Amino acid sequence: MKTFKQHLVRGIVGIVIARVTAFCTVGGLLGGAVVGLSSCNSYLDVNTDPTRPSSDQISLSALLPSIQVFTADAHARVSLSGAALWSQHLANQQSGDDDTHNTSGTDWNAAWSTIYLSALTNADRMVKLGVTQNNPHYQGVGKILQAINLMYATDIWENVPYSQAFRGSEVFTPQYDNQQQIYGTLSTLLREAVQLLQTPLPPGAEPLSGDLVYNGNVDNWRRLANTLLARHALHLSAKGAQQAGQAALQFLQAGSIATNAGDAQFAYTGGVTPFSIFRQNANELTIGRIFTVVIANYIVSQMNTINDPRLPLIARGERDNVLTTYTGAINGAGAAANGANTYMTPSTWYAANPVQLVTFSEAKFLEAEARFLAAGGTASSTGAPAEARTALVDAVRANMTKMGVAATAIDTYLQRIPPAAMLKLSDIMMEKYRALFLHPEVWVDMRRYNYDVNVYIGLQLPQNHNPDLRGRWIQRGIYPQSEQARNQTAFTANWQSRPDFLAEQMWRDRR
Amino acid sequence: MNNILRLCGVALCVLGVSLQSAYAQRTVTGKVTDKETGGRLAGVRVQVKGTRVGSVSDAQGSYKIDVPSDGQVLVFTYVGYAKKEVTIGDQTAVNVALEIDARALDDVVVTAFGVKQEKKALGYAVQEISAGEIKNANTPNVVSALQGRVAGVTITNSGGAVGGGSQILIRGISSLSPDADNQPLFIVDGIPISNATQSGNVQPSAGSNAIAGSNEQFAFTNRAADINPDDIESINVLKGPAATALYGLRAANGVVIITTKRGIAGKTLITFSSSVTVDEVGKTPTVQTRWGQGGSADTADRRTNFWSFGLPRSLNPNDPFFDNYRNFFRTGTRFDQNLTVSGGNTSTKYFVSASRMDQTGIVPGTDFQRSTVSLRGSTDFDEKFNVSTSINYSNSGGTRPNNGDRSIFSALNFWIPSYDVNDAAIAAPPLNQRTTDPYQPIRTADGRITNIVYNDGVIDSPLFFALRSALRDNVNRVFGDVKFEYKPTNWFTATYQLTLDYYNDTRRRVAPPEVGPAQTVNGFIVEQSLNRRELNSQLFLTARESFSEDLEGAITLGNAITDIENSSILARGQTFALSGFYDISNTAVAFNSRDFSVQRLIGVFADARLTYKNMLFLTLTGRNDWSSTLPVQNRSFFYPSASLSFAFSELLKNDDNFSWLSFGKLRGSWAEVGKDGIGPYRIGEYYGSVGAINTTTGFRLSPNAGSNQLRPERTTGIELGLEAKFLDNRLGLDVTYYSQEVRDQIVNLPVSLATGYSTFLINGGTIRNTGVEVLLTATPILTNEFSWDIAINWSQQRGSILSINEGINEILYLDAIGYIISKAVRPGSDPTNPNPAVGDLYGYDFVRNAQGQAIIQPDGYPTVDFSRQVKVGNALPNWQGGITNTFSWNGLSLAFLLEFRQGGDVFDIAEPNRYRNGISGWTDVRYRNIVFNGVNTQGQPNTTPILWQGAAINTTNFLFRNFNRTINAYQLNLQDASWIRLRNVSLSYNLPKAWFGEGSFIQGIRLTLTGNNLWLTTPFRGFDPDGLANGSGANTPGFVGRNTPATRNYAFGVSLTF
Repeated sequence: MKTFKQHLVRGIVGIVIARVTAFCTVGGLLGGAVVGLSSCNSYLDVNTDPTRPSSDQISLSALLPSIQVFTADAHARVSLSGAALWSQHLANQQSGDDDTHNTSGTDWNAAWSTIYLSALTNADRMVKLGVTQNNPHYQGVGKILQAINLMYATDIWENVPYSQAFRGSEVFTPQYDNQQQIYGTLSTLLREAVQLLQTPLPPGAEPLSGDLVYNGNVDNWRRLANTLLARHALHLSAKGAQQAGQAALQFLQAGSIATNAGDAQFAYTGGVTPFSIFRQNANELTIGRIFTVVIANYIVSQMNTINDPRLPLIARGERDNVLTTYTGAINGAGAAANGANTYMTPSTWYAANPVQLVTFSEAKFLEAEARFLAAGGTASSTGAPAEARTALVDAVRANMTKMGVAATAIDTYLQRIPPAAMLKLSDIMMEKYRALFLHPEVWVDMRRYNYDVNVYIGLQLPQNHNPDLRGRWIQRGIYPQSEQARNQTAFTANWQSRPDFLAEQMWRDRR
Repeated sequence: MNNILRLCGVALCVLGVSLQSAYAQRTVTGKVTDKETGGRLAGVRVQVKGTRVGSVSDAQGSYKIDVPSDGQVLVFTYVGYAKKEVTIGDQTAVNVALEIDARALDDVVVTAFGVKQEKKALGYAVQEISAGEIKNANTPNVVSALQGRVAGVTITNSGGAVGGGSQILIRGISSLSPDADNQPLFIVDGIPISNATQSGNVQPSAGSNAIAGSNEQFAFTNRAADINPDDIESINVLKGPAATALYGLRAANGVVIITTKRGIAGKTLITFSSSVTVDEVGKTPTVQTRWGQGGSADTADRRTNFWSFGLPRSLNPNDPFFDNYRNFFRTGTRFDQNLTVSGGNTSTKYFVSASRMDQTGIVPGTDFQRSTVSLRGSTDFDEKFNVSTSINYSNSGGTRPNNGDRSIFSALNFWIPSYDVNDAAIAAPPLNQRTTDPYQPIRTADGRITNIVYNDGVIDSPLFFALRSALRDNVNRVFGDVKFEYKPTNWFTATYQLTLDYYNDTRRRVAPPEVGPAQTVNGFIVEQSLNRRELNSQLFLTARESFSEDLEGAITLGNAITDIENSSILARGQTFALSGFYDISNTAVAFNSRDFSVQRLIGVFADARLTYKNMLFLTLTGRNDWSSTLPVQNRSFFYPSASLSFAFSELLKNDDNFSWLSFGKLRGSWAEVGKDGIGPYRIGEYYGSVGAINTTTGFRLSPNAGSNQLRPERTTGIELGLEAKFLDNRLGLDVTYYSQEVRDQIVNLPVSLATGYSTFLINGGTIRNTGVEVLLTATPILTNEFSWDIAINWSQQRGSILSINEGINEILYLDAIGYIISKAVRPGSDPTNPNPAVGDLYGYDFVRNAQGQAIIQPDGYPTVDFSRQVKVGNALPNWQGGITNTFSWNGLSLAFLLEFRQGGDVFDIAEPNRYRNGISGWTDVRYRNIVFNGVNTQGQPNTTPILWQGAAINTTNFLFRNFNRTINAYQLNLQDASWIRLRNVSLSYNLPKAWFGEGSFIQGIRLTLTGNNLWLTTPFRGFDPDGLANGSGANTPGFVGRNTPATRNYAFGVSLTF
């Protein structure tokens, strides 16, 4: 009788044969190489993706253009997801849509994703890489781009993640910083950026390249940072108008954007901007009727009244035809209600030109407002320093020049600006309202002055206004649905009970 | 290589012979053959009766046994054949012919690595589906052929699109990861084949279809559908970890073993079969017929938008009614042709088959074709060495309809029943000739179709979309193997198999400028080429031994190496320059990308089996895997299993008191399976190209990253079962209980985008699946001419979430659709869900007071509470089952399969637009005074009715369109998708042989009539709920709609044998 030992011997012989044969045969068959037990590890060391660069392979100049396109995307997302509807630049084609101050978490998924996942994440990586490589200029540019995007975020949602954000697996559920902290962070980022951009490039550091905004011009970036610091200062006008005005002036005088050529703008591939949401067809006459938005009656009627030469540039008929009479849609009523005919077709100015992030014109509007406030002006006061009027005239001229309005037409238009002694805040803010069409800053301005009809003359709540707001104006967007699902605790902590949440003023705008 | 094998074999021969010779008294040799075919039988057990001396026949059917001096009788046993005893007498050569035992054949199943085992010996549940059942099912996809037939197995189709994928889940969802594929491993004749459903990259598109990796757009084929169902001899479903432990990590979700038909020695058979099938759309949504087009019942203007909230039809004769949900679909057809030739002699056997299927879909413009060719052969070089090989080629593909958001099926919900959806011809007028009237008839004066109907660019004409914006795919696939079997002695077998599975899938999608998703970019075209190649090397060494007459043992040692390479090239162009010419060369903006990955796996395993008195069976297994996809320090892992089967009826077989018991067995198993759970390149972080940006290219941090500390998942399971047959096998029962726990779940966690990532791969938690499976068989009537068989399967399954790891709040499955969300929460974290389970659905409720009463606003409406999501249901059925009745009378056979699914909540993604536009049947109640249950803001019972205001619809104050007040509430959106359906009816008739005469060229003719889905009852309001919104590769049950609806079909087939 065979013993257990003998069976065991068979087993062991079996194992040895299994391994040796398997590795020999397979090695031979698979690649001609012998894959023995010892080479098992190298056979398995194939877990590196050849189609994507690793953290070690990435460069500053490969990240910069991406962050820039994401920033322009974010600008357009914020505008189209709500800002331009609630500032009544645009109206919904259907009645009862978002422009009646209805908004939902799903409306804001795209803006949040663009700002956080795309723009801020990569800006964070670029700044860190700039530190590692001791490159002050990339760090400075990175911080400016961080500031622009973080400003969009807090302008929509007030409290937002930042100090605990971008930490990957260390913090899966970042808590939100309150808006006061965020405004501190913005100031720090921009001040540091100015410093870094004035630091000479150390030997061996890569000069700014891949820069699709300023083509590597470091001084332009510094001027942009100062302009943003001025914007930042005026954002806090509700906290103290005079000080805000004075602070803004200091930044502007430190060297802000000084010409139209210094505008921070972004040109998309093939000229297809996010505001060009219409079919473009090279062979056939272009038509397009966007489903959701029409240019709003509030801006169109103003421009009609004052015969604004920019109206034919920003609005066309639904078949891209030039209109003889312009009728904007009344917010909340639907385009059909009054036969609105003003569309943003592909050949309109904002669809066909680079996205205007921060412009010389805006810098001059900031200066005009800053001088008005610094001199003690209020929403209802009359009279301003002469420099305020000069800045306002420069701001309008810069905008019209850029849009290609003829010089004579500009001069004619400018005659409507009252003399300094008669200047009101509304003169400045209404001009800015028309010049910064679709710009999210306009919605910030309106909320800073709490939709004051002394500033925004003739402004009315949309029809079919969301009853939950009980006649009050919308003050914010809603946190995206993705945050509610993925970061529930932080989401809930920053959510105040509806319906008052939407109508509640942000910290920034509270006096 | 042969030399090596031979050398090893010789070495073992020497060893074996020397071990045995010491006990020899006299030697008997002989051959064992199949009585009917004369083919030689390998692996037949030969035993000297009354002793423990035994032997096994070799590949040539030859055996040699050393018989002790007192040995008188040889006993021959072979799985599937009747036992035979032969008295030796003075013979030194004993040749026997064994007869197939029809009843015994039922008791043989294919287990891991193709090993045929007696069912009796198994310590775990295995269920077999025969060729006949697959034939009866008459589905082109082998996976959907299993529907309703296997206990514990859930098959869900991706709808009725031709070539559409089907999903198979064995014992439910075993993973918490939103992107996990929970489907089993598919093995065809020992060849691991891919059953992947590759969604590829279908961007860009619009709506939720624009989300990267979205697979709802086209119901892509699950690749097991490349197999010709007619080639299949049997399918064995291995369910639990004990059954699949030997296959290793890729089998953690079970294994589907497909055995194909083989040639039989001495019998040349030619069969030809042909069938024609007619498909029509199955269940369609109920539609209200009472109200016409318009925005208000009180105004005469019916031309208000795409709503059907207008005047009653009776008041407006110009408002006809069309049931577009039915009228849109046409009758689909399917033609199948199969030819097989098989045969062989004693040493060489072959099988050749060819098939062709041509199908047109119920959606206009869609079609699917499949051609397959298979060659299989085996030959014995000598008595010890057998080589077999197979090669299978298939070509498949077709024109696929666009599903999902902003597709044919979303547009259909905007189609006013006042217009005929088919009132359209094929060509759109030039864009500049379109009128601005948004309500134009869709047929132009010259009879052509336009795509502008209601709102240009957003709501397309479904017909235009179907005919002009389909996707074409073309798949070429080859899989095959070479297998060497070497039996140097009768107790030892060495098998080596090298397998290949390769396919190339080219896809082309054109979206002309006219269709909504393509308008902003003036049309786009996507060309993609996907390649997958898998090589497997498998070596098994098996030694068998009889330790005594009562105790037998076998040990198998094996090694398996898997090498998978995936690659794809994508070219996308947008903005067509030349109108009407759709080619990538005609695009102004180009995007290119490439994917490439390699994945390797090495496994070493052992399997030991002990049999005591043909009554107690013990199996022990162990396997170690090394996976290339895990972090180096964690890539090696070992796992064992043990299973025991106790055929207690053996003890009672001579007891007359138990004569009613034909067979009884208890089984139990414990097993652990490790799993890498991820594909290649999922750990660490990378940067990805953003593509062309103006004049340069940019990179960004890839939003999906993974932990460098990832550990393999571990599945530990127990399974207990009882199998019994009564009254001479007329009644049978098989009950299984199982519980399996998956620890260290690898989860692709959706995280706050503020972390810098969108998803992060980590070990995330533990779930436990428990379930009961019952199989009941009965033969109420059995006479020579007539028989009635019943087979019932029933199963219940629940997946509990036991824990979710620290640092994770919850795991989100699907949040792309706002109304209903699918997620897993940590136990104890959510008061609305004390016992979280796999498949939980969440949604928004109304604002309620502390007593739970809904608070009704002064206008009579409640308000949706958006501040929190509450548990509202579960997507997985409570139980499911099937009943098959088969009646046979002479050559006539009638079988029908009733399928049940009880419970399982679903959200019909398409439905909100259906009621928002006033089409749904239940919007009929629109102008009744409804008083919501609840309390008013003063806490008093609400008595305020919501009233039709008599003016144009105020959308902020309207039941069917108000997001904030009503339609985001789960109460309007969650539905019960229970069903009872007549899944399959099959009537077949074998023409009597006498009709052909003796020796006729024709051996047999069989006629069949089959019908699928002939009857369905369900409370679900939409199309047939058997349709996954996200395709067959997704882990998101509970979401249906917006895909091609399931069909009902009728087929006639004829099969000839020569």
